[in-house]
Amino acid sequence: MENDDLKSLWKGIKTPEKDANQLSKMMKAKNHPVIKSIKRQAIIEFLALAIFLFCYYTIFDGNKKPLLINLILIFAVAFSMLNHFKGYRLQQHFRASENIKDDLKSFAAKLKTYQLEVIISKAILLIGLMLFFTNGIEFTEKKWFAMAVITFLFILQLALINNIWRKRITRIKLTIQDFETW
Amino acid sequence: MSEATFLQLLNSNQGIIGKVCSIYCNYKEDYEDLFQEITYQAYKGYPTFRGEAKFSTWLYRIALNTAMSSFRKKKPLLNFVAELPDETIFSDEEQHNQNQHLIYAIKQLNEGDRAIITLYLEELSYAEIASIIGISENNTAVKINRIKNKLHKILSNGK
Repeated sequence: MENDDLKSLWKGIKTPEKDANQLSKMMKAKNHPVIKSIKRQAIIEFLALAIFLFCYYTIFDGNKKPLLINLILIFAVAFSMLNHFKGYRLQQHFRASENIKDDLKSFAAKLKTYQLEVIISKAILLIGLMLFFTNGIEFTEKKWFAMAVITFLFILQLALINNIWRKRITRIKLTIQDFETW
Repeated sequence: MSEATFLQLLNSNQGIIGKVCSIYCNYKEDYEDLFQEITYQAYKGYPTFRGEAKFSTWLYRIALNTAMSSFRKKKPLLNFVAELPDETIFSDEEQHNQNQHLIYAIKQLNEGDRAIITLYLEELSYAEIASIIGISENNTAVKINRIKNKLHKILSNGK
């Protein structure tokens, strides 16, 4: 097959057409499937954390715990809320500026930073919650065991999240590498 | 520039988005998600379109960039028929098989090579391709030759 044949075949490819109404809807963030689901998840988690922050002082005896423990918990929850917001903003971020290779490099760097922040914020949240709820309780063998199981499950979740991000970043880095090699 | 102007330009160039989605997605659900992501990114970036290049060239840059950086569920390519997006995606009956074959062949390339060959098949000059991708013109020429050879090999093996 000649190169010109390839070009004419390419030009002949027809894809399904969207009408102007469908295209117009697709231009808006509120109709974007990924942004919509991130937003929904972020709102749910944000509300849950906000409700927790609002009630913990009385319901979970925050007033009976040391000030430092309270401050650590508030910081951990606030950091996690901020992280959700950042994830939502990152998905909306316009990625194209000068050329594809540089844009991919800059996006991979942003994803790498966000990947670290997700892991750190989840770790801080767990530490904050653990410190708060274990403060002042007497540890028995069963409680130590429960703590170990919770920590293990949490680390497992972190590893899975990390793996998803790592795969996405690696895919982009491989493309950059392909562009750079001759 | 107004939303209506953008919509008009997008409407007449939507085939570009469709083609990019076809070579980067294996399933209809992924295809639709990527189509929307590209449309959203293009609209968001439209104020940066200075009109120095053709709108179609600009849209290709946005579409390819988005396709390569978006999250997609990677599913294994099982065989020629199974990996195609959806039979209804293509409407031209006469060239249907040949078109499928070309898309299948392009999908065998790595993601970067798919972008380069797409721009080549759209008849952009080596200088334009180099500038869009962000590599030198010499590197572009070398890569295009290599990719064309790969593509011919895949196409002839598939017959």
